[in-house]
Amino acid sequence: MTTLANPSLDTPSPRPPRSRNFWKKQALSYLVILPTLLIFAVMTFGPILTTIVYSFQEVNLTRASEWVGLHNYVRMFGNPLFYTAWKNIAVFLIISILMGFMVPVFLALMVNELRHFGRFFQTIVYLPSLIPIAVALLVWRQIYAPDGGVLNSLLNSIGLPAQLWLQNPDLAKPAIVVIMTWLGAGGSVLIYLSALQEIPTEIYEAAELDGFSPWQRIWYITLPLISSRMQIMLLLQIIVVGQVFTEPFILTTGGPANSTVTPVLELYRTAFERSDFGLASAWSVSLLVVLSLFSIVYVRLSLGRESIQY
Amino acid sequence: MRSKLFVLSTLVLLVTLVLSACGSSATTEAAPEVATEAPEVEETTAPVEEPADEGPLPAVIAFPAEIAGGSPVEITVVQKPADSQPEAVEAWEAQVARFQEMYPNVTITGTDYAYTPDSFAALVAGNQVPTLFEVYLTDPGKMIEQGVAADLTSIFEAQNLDQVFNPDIMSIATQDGRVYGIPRFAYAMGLAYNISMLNAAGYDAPPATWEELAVMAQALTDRDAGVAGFSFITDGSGAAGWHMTTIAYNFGLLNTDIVRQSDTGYAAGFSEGPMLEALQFVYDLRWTYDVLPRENLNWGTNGEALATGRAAMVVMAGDQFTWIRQTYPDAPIDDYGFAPLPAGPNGTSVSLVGGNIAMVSAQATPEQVEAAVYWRLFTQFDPDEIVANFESGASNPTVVVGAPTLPLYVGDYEAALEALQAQYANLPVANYQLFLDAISSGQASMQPEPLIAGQDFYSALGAVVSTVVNDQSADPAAILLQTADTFQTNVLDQLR
Repeated sequence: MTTLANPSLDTPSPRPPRSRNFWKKQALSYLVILPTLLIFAVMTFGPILTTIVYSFQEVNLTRASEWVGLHNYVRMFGNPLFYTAWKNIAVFLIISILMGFMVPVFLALMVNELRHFGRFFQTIVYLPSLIPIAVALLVWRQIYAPDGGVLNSLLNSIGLPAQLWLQNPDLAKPAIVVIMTWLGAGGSVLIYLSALQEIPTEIYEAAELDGFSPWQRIWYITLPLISSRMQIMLLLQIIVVGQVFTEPFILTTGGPANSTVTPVLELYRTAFERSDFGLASAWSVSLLVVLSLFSIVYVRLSLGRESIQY
Repeated sequence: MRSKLFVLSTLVLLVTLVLSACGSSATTEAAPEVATEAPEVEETTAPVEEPADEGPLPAVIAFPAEIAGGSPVEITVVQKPADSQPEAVEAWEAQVARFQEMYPNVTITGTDYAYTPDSFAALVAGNQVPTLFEVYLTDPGKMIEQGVAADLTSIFEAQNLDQVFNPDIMSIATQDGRVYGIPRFAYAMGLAYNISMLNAAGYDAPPATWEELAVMAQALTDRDAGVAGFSFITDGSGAAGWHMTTIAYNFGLLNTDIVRQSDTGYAAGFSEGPMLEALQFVYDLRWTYDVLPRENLNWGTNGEALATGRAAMVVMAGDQFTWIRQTYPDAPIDDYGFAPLPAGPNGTSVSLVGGNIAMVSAQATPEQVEAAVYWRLFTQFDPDEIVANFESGASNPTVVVGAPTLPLYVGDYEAALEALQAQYANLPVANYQLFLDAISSGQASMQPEPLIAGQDFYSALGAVVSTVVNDQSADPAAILLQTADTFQTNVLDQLR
């Protein structure tokens, strides 16, 4: 096997050493981006800090709020729905990784292998991402409809019994994961495609000369070369699925039998249906803590990609 | 045809008179006499229009000569129709223009925002509450307590309005003797049904008891055709809790028992008894009789199920017939009847009563409050406006008259208004006679919505309904008990 360092792919170019003149040279640049940085900080960290403060208060929207210590957290941990929601997220994650993680990889490999119409299929794959999510979900509601739905009609036509896709607590989660995968695959495919197209063709040519079959090429060359991208996509998937809201909000209202209640859905209801912003903020903080852990790993992985040796 | 209309008008008039005499049965107070003449305030504020002596409606408001002393005032008001209804928008704009003819200094900006508790919280948080807004009957208390609603007492007193509105509804908009809201409409829940479907299955009347309903619904259910015998809101949202509460009222649940108030605080009282019986019945409807739609319906899809023939009997508030007419103009509206809900184990039918109340933002200036209130009263009481609205029904398909709602006013004004409505009715009023008779005779009693943390209760109960109709292994008793416990800790124990 050839050993090669591929500077164009996953290895960042070495950073130039900071000279004494660094700040002198860069000061103007930093000054120029300072307003944007400030706005970004206010818009991003402002709400986060406010949420943390709210989580220790009984929030009143029109009058001064009262400090209540850990009361909101006691209520949150005392609510059985807290555990249900996080358990649901764990199951969503497992299903989405099992069912959905490899889908964009396969799609990207297929599109990449196409000699003709590659761009066309790339567009087709990305199309779901362009449809407004509420519209897409209404279409999926018709697909999953128990009576006369597209999916059940198909099942009936091949002699299989109709299913209650969104009304059966055992089926609702996988049914929603299918939609999430359909909606999200397009973006991931583009990212994988860009990674695939960065792989120098010489490697494949060498492999072909060595007598590699297409599967061997994918297994020994392609997948290792995009593996760091896959790690990052996996983390992104965890972060996105951890915040799932729109699908259960529009399709199932958290049901059936609370099987699709998620932390974001419950914090939305707590805040906006029950005007209990303190408790909702405690839920937000729980989400912040969990997702921050994954985000830290994500940032470390993105920054610390190591060169790959072959 | 003319004689039919005459009989119809007479019937509605009679019902109205009986209703007016009864008031709604939620309280035992007799309805006070209505001010049929212009109130005394007229002498001090020169009216713009001479009240019509022989008009179709008695003039109950003495509109002031000017608002805000004539200085410019801008208000934002809800209830502007959506752009998708151009005729309605045009009519609304014409109405604004007529108001501005009287008060040129008032600028009105309309929004088609429709109240929901979740979206409204965001408006409060963002300081974007419209000057004039509307809330459900469950919510005025919350608005007053949070300081969102302005005090309207002085205008109410000046116009003697407390004697015009149904006192049962007024009491919900009043706290400590101060008035904070203008009642907009009130509904009572009933059973809407498809007359043709019932006839085809051999029934000439809707069910009188819930057991009968279950049996009839079985006969009416046709899975191959996608028809459910019976339907109510089961989507797990607060609306599902609202419908479940309606059903439970018929099993003997009292709105005052849902949350019991004592010196020491509030206690959830719905974990057993009538609520559990009702929940068990709903469980049986799904898993024994199997008569519910396979899909979990929300407010819109529940109404749609009736309008599109996918449900034979539907729990509904009478005002939704207006929505059906507007949304499904081609639906066979003459085919739908409206009856009181079936009687529960103790033999009585109980109707949950709800509605909307208009309120004014507490952030409004006194001038804006005045302008907003008089705008609302103008659309609600000006006889010419009401007639113009009814008449526009001929060309405007969104103007629907004749839905079986509850009397908003008392006395002569209500009687005259309903007579006028009967004249312009474009809904089949005769089909609603069973409901109207039951309400007016007291055969169906009425109960208000739960007033202490009402929407929170609905929300908690909605999730219970979702579980019971979707999970065959669910134990209604255990779920209800757990929900009541959580509701106690998370909602009631937080109330002061």
